[in-house]
Amino acid sequence: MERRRRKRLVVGLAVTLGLLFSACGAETDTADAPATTAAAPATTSAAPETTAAAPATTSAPEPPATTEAAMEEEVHTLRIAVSGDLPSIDPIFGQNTMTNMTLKNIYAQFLFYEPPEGEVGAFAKANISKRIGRAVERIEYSDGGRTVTMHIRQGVTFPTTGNPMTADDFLWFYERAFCAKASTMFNSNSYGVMSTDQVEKIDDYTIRVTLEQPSPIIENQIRAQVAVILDSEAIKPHITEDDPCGNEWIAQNYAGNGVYRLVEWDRGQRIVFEANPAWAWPEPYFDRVELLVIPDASNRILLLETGEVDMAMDLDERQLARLDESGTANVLKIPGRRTLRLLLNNTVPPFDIREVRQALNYAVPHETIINDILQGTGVHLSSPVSPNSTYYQDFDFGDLQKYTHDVDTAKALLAEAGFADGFEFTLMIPQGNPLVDEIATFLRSEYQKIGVTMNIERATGAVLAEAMGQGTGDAYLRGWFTDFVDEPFFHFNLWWRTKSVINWTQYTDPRMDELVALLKAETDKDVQRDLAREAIEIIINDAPEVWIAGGATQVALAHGLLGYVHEPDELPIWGSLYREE
Amino acid sequence: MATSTEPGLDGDGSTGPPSGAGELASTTRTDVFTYVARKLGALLLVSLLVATLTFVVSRATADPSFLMVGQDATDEIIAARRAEMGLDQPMYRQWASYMADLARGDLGISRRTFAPVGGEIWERLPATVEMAGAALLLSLLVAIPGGIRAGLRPDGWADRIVGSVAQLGAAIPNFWLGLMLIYFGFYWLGWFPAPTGRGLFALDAEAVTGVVTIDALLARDWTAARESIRYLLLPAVTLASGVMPPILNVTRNATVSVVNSPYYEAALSFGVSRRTVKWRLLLPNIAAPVINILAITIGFLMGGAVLVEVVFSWPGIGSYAVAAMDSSDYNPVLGVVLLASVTYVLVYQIADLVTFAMDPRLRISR
Repeated sequence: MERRRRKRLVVGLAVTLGLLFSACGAETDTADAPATTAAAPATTSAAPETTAAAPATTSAPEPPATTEAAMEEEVHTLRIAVSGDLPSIDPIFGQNTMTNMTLKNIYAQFLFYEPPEGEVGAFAKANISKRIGRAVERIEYSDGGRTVTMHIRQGVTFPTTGNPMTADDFLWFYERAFCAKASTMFNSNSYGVMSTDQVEKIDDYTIRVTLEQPSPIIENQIRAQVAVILDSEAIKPHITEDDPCGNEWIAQNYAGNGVYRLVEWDRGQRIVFEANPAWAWPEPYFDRVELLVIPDASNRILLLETGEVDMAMDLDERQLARLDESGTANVLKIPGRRTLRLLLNNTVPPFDIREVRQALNYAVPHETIINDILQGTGVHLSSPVSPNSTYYQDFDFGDLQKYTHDVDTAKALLAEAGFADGFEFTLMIPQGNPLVDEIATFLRSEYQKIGVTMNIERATGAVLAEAMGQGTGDAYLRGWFTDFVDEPFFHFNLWWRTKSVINWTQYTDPRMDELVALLKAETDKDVQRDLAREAIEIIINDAPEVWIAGGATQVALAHGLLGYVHEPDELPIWGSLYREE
Repeated sequence: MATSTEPGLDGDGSTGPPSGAGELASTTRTDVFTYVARKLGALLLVSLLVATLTFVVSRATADPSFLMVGQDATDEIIAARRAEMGLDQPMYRQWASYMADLARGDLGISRRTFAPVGGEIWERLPATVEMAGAALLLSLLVAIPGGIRAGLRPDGWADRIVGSVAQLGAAIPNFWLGLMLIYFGFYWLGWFPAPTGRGLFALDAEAVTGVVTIDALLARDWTAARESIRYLLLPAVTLASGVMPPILNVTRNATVSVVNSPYYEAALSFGVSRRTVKWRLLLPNIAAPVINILAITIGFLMGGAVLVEVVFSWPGIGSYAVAAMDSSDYNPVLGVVLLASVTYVLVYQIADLVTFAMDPRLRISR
């Protein structure tokens, strides 16, 4: 009895000590933790777009003060919860939003979009009609736009080596593009650079690019997060016979000079960046940015609500709606250009019949999806181009034909095509995407009403990508699509030109190919409008895919975090963010 | 074969080692050597089979080049990616190349990160070892004494509690338990830190083992050690909840079996104290089944903690493998599967060897 009492006492003491030990912890965070302010209503109205041209800054930035007083200043840290680790920091291999966001902020692109004028409150849109210099100070066009002379910004160095940025680094950008054969090659090809022979060094700070024909998208393309300058002097010693393009070294080693630079990479856990003292223009509010790898979405929400992080990425529509409703975070809803489209393989019967494809479009209850599944954040979509697209609005495409929800018309079209009794097909969707799963399940029941049986097959990312690339599936619903460049040639060349790699519907039309070729060299806006209008009318009529909805860009931020600048690529800009004091 | 250990006289009258003892020692050494050699051979064969099977299955599922190139691609870019990964070669050549690299200890390059797979696994392994080790320790601290206590008095109150705990542990999904612990422990009560993996504190010492808790203790950085344990506690408890029940059950059943044995009863009836009987009879006789279940548990922990890693953002090899699988990044998948299978086989062999060493009945030749 005595022994038993002693045992119970020991166990009780052990449990108590254990609880005390875990509860009494030291502060864990090394940087200032973001303060959670009182709940404020989410700002959803779009700020007016800036139209006044701001003069491009031409002088090199001043390095920050390094006095003792400056060093004792509080360090402002931005913490972002992301769903996965960075696979690599090679700018030419970014494949997801988080990676592309990081690349955009840690490397210097040739150009960037003009920031909004004045102080940015909750959010504002960049002026995408004007690009200003970043790595390139200014561009001169001659010979009808066929000769592009780029004057490189002087006095800029790479922070890890101190090497100056020169024309050699720009030449190497193009050399590597054609060596590695990845996104930068595609990027260069899209504005007409097909080989390094077209790129010439004039002097240490000038290069000249010669094109066969002028390009309407060159500035948009050299603003992309893949068009960045690396320290070629630092990289070349690591090039080997097995790795002639330096892919292996660049993937894991930082050789850039963006607004932020990589300082620490704790694989699978945290990545830390600091403001680049050699290039902090404009000087960011946040001295440090930390990406915390939090794979579970509910944990990302918890961390945002408790103030452990300032931004939570990769949340789906329902999670964002709940967060918005709870008022524990600020959910920005920015009218965006993303589109949700069910891609039909036009070479697989019966999707080779236009009336069948049109019928599937008429069978979609767009408003139900927008209101119930997208929680009211979507817009009606009747073409592959979002109605929020700049050129869609500028070119007055609002009067184009719309596919409305009309079950009778859908049935009539199916009967006309010889499928009055319906048919069966398989839709491939990605695993682990709740939004896509929900929409697919909903559409399955809707299509049943017109006699069409849709089976759903869930696949890993690689399996789905291969099926789409090889054209072996019946239909695919992958998720949101956003064209990084808001420009007609970019869109139609990427999606609708015959044999374009991401023409996943396998669509082909000779007139469309002609229009794409004409758009490639057309810089006159009026002519662009006519060509783009014809192209979009062809697509709407042919209905190679099912248009489900357009979506808003939604960003979950901690209260008090301001300065979000929205660009067409929807990738957050760390340098513009600041905390309300 | 003679097995006597009685001292005998040599021809010159001196007492030397017993004549049978030398033969026994030699026989035992030969037995052990043969036993170990056979086991190592089996390990090699299993590893080869696992590597081949995983190689074939991974390449049969998907071609990763399409996912890698993304939207900004042309046919030329896709072809370049495939050539870079050797996917333009016939399957048998790809297999031969992989096996040749494996023989040199090279696990290849990850096509997502362009980093050597061996290095990436090595970097993440300490995190998995730390969490698995803590979970195992917690499990043993509860399961061994709890199982023995329950087995000593079957159907007693301890046995009933142990049975309920074991059933609950088996029934509750550990990822759900983890989320609940985070919600109540961190969000509601604020007793535990945020689920940000191994913690965001700095360790003021060079990493020796890579296991943060141990490195902190070695460096006598008590603050870091305490912080490390704080971050480790919830994931370890979550993982332990899943692996403890089988250890508990096996210990309990083995105890019951020994307690009901004639030699146990005989010892007690001869007046041997309960304490002596417990230490000299009970523990050695339940060791074998417990060691076997531990071997299974360790094998599982090294490869099966993926869900817990995801819930707690723990940067281990499980989450590394899952990310690679989604991209059909073959080499990391192969590397982790090989590691898990070698661990399983190795741990089983060690368990067999320990049992072999502990149980003299296994060493006596027929």
